[in-house]
Amino acid sequence: MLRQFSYKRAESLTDAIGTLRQPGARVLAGGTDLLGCVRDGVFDTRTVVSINGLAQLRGIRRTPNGGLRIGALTTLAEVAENDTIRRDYAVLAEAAASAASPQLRNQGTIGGNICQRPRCWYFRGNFHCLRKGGDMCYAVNGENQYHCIFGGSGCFIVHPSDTAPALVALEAQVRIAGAHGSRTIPIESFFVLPEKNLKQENVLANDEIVTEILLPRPVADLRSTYRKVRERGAWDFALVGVAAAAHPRTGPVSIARIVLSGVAPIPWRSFPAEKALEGRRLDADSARDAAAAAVQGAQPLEENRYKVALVRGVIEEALLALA
Amino acid sequence: MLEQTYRTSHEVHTTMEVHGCVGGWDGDKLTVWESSQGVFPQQKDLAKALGLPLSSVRVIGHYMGGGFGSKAELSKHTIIAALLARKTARPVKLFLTREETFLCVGNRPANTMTLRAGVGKDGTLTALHLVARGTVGAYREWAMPGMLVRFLYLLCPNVRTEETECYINAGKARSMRAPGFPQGAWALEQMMDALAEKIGMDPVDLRLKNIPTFSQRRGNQPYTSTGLKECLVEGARAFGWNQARSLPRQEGPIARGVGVAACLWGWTGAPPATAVVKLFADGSVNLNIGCTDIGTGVKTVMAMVVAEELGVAVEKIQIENADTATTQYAQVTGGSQTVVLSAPAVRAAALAVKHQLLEIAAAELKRPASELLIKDGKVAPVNEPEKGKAFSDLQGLNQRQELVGIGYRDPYPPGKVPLPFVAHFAEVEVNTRTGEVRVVRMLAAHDSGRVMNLLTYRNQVFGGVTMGIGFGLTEQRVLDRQTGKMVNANWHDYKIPTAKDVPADLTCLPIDPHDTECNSVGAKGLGEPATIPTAAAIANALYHATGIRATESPITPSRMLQLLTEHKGRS
Repeated sequence: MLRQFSYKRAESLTDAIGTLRQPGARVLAGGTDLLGCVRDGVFDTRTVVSINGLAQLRGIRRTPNGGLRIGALTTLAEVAENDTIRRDYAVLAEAAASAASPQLRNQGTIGGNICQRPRCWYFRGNFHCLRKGGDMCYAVNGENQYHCIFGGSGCFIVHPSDTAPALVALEAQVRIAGAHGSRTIPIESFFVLPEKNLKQENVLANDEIVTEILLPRPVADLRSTYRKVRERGAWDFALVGVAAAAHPRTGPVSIARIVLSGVAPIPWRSFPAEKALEGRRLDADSARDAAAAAVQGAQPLEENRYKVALVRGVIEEALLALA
Repeated sequence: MLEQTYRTSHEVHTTMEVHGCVGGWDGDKLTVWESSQGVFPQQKDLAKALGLPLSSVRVIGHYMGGGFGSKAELSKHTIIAALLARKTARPVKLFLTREETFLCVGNRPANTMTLRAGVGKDGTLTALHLVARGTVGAYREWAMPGMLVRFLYLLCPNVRTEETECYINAGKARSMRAPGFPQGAWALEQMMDALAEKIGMDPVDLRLKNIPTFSQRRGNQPYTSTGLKECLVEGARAFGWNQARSLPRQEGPIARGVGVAACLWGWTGAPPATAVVKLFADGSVNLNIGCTDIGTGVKTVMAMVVAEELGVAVEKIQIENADTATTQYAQVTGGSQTVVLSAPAVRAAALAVKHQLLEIAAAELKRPASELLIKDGKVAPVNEPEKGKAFSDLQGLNQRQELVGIGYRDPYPPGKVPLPFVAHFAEVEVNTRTGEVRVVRMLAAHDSGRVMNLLTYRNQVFGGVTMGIGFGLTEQRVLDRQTGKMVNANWHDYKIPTAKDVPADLTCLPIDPHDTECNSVGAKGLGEPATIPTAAAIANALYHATGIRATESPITPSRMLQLLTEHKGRS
């Protein structure tokens, strides 16, 4: 059952931020995640603040420094189909195209995609779990086949976004508007682990809104790809995914980025894997070494040991696709 | 002799349309509008539950959005709605939530099956011994895999099945598209594959070697027809089985293979069924039958039977169905029995009208009825079509205003067994790095007797194969081991296949044995056989691709990857 809430369409960013100060106020952009959260009672919702009237949050355009600015309300379909993104930031276009289903990609936004709540079935279901203010994590001794193998402590969710690891691989920045103006932070510091905050997956305060994503000027000859493994062909989150980027095409690798989805409570950048590649030619041997380095220190739970092998498989496959 | 233990997971029907009804009272008469596979069985059970005569309970189920067995019997919500409506003296609408449809309207039980099987070097089966366990929920249910082994499509002198149904505190099992059979096929058909390998015989040939023309289960009575041999032979030819089977294993991380599985469906359907056809003075027709159209195109097929027999256009036929107060008795739409039971009754009713019509026309055209032909809404002498009369111009019809024909379903021919047969062929690709299994193509060869309508026939087969892919690769109910609560009672976490999980290269190959004995229309059941062997064919293809026997369904990437890792460790 959908609970009662009041609805407000924000006239301006200031208006939206002001309304968000009220307890139980939630931002409505595409609404694809919010609707499920409200219906399932994942959080308290008293007011829904639509930001869909704020035209300045839409669209993709060049920045003065040659990078790209993606408005938070840009849909996943628009990101996936944008020619500049497909050419210069392929990993992002592929990640956006791999998310959800065509209907959801037409409705869901890039801002919402990086802010969506975890899909953990205990968090979403009728369980009073730690992340919802309860006193235990049901996954740790329960059905944890979809849970994390890195970064878990107390809570063992995985971050559900496909675009977030791509944005980390591209070293994007996030622009956030709040009551005291706006701030811009690297996307890696946008996400937080449970050990830092058990109740939320990012640093946003209640009265803050992600307004845009900033991509740096493209690195010439940086090849990138997103590879996602899931249980069915559409409308499914990643069991494991990898956003991989490497430069240059021939000769020793000088830039390597390997960021995993489906394995940690945040997009999981694997510095050991990147190190294993740097200075070497991209080939079967270095791909295998990078894959092996990526799973060092993994701490699987009872039902998700397969993710260790899967991480190795997707990294090898993604890197060889770039070679 | 080989022995292997196979496991299947709980599947949930999860119909697109949720379960629900509207119930209301007029004095002591109850009317219920219900999404139902069978209004008459529900009327009976509702009358019994409420202590009412059948004549006081009316169940109407004109339309429904999916059942797969979960709407084949009376559910609690209907009784609750009736009681609340009586208490409040107002109609009550009661629909389950999506989550409730995962929990309280049935499931296909999970089974653990240990099968021992013996085969001679020449491919003759010598023995089958199945020991199976299944969890049926909190109440008794029949849905066990041993049926498939007992209703064996093969010939085997020694067959033994032992089954144990375990009660657990979870949702009750309920008939689900071919209850027991997909599980049984998962075990038996993988075992056939293993036996073939053991004696170095092609799996198609091993099955061909053991096909009887009679039913071992039913005292060796002959089948009215069996097209199983043709399903295997024609299917293998159309699929390119021999070429695909002999392709060398390719280098690289993608393994490719093909597999086959066969089966019969063991339920013939049980009469009675009644139909009424009325021809009106203007040449239009009313067909009155009790059965529900579950989405299989029942109404289309029945209208075609009338149209063919009475020589009228399908558009001139109005159908009234699935209302216990105004239509004729029919069994539940389930068990692949609806066309098999109702179409012969419909044909008999149309024939009864036809006889009356010919009698009237014979008098008016002054020709014996045997020399008259009915076509395109006219009656004419066989050799002089220009002397014909439109139905609406026949005085006799105008005087009576309508001709009414009643048709009953005849009993089955004694001493004969009318059953449908099937063989599915699958080609899969396995990504040995990630455990992903992709069904590249499938061919479904079916002997379901006469093809009544090719479009709805193909629709059934494609739907059945899709469900089979879900059973084999994606679907499983997950209960939290700490609380017993289902954690994936929603459409995201309970994974039914999407269009991307079904191969675009999907072929339906009907085999028509021209069965003149099974019933007066020559059709055998189709809805359930379409889903029985799919998953086993996929598992066999996977074995051909990798040399790994995936004995536990569904074969998710995680399970496959685990098997691949173990396999690598051994070799």
